[in-house]
Amino acid sequence: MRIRGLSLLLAVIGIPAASFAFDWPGNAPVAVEFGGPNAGSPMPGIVLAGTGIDVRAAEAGELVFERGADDAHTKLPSATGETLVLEGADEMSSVYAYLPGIADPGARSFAAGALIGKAGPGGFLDQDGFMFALFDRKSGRWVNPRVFLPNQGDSKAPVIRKVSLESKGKLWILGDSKIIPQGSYSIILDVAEQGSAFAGLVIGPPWYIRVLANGQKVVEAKTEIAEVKGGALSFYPASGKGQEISVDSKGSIHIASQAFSRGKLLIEVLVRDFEGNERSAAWSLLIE
Amino acid sequence: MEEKTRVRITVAGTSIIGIVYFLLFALPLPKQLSLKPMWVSAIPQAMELGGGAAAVKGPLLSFRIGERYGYFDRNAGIAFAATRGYGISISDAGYVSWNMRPDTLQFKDPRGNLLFASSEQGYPFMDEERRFVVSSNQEGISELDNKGSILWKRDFPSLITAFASNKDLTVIGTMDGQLFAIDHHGQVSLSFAPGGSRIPCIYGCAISPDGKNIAATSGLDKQRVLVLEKRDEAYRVTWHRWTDSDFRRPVAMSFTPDGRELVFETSGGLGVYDVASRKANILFARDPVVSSAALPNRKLLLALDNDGKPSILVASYDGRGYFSFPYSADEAMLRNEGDSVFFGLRKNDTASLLRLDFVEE
Repeated sequence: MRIRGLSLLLAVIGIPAASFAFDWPGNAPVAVEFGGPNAGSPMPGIVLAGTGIDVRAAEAGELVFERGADDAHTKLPSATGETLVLEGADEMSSVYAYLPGIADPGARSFAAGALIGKAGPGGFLDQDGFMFALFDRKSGRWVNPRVFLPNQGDSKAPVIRKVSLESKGKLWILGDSKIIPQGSYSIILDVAEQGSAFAGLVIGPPWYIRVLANGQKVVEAKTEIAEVKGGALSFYPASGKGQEISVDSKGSIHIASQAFSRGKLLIEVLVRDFEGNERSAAWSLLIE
Repeated sequence: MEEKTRVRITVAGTSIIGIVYFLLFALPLPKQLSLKPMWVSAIPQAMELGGGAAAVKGPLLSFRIGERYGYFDRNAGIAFAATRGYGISISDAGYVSWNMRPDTLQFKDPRGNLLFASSEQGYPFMDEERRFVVSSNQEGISELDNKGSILWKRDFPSLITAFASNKDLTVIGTMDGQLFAIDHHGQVSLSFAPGGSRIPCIYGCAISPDGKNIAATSGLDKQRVLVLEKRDEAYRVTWHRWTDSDFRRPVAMSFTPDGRELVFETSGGLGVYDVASRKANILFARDPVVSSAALPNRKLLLALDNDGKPSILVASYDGRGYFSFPYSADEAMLRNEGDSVFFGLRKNDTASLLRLDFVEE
């Protein structure tokens, strides 16, 4: 399932799968998933939590851009602290950000596994750690690094914390509300990953999301390709099918507006992480 | 005897003609331009806000030398000095400092009075009188008005790597090699990808004070500097030059205050592009150039370089070096006001400001 999904994604963004040999850039738990919130903005990569751990090149690459937290050549501050961009195979750039410093400021190329620096406080990251992100230059969009990284042996399913319907600024929490007026509603999912190593809930959307209304598919999406738009990370389907979803600055997943007419409504939500762990939930409502 | 008389008359006549010529047609010797030391002022490690403000006169000028920042006047008065915490952005219009994970952003005027506090999340910065916040993921920029309200906010496709603004436009360069100009309403008035290099990326950008010219340093292998000129309401590339530079970090570039020249970092020194003639000259300084200042009325450029043997270079726009002299400092800055040049130097715990005036003698 995972391999088929990966192959499809790679085919869509035009990359031969054999081009990549990524490894985890740090021996640390994932604290924020792709698209999860950080200080009011969505993360275009994953955040690995920790201080003092080695940050290593996930694949071989050529240095494209490097800047420190404070650089006399520009007025622009670096909210991502010490930041390094490496150009890898097939126009895929890897980004290592929120570092306190880098190991070898003069290095022009990095072998796979080469030391980039140590994780720690650097830039505006909610916790100590660093971000690893992948940018596909061909499509001009961010790609979920999980797609290319080996599984970590996680056996915990994601948690569905809350599902709400929103219309004209009013919110109905499923489970609390049993009757709602007919109309168009946005579906808002509050879902979290449970990392195998991270102590708390991992912030950010799971890999796969499916929502059914009375058995009809409302959305089926994978958080694999994304773009920052209007302060949120918008995901795009690799296959061209499916539907665009977005994650807001608080980490909630927004699904485009749906019209519900009078009668019974059964909403079913299924979420699945990259390692195949899944959880589902359903709610019955009466539309008046 | 007659021969002697003839010689005497000839000598006397020649002398008289010479004296008359000297008196009537004398040309003044050309004046030499020199840098005249005016004052040196020690910068305290910290001076409370208002501690020196009473003694200073006239408009305040900002300085930042490494960790130290503050304001001074033209007559050696230090209005205020402080050592930065995590971040500092300062201009003559005000300053803002912040910690690594700021809850609120406090923008202050040069005398330390709070202008406003903003809860916008990100790192703030000043560009002359404009105030911006870059989002925590380095992909969005918002501009704040003088009360802290958001004027506009915009996200970009990848990391923001370059920034410039004048009073009307904001220019943004991104990691994926795109260049954007944003107006006061947050609308994109230019979207352009220079291309032509193996790897696209924008390393630096600049906009002229009148907004007619936008410049960028772009790409890797090969790198180039290009200038876009506004014609018929659209920007078009009017000049570009492939360079030998191999910058993979932010690159300094700016137009001179009169907008007639673009000064940019390039391999082996500074480049000066003349907008009118569309020609560029290279001034040989040593990489990296720490700071530079342009004196448009004298067509002079000053640069501080620091490749281990720091020196100050004074050169003309057309590339002729006038003189250079070494300086000894751990950190340095350079700025000017008219013909007055201010050097800031820090060595160990001692920091000083020097004023030198260009005078013709």
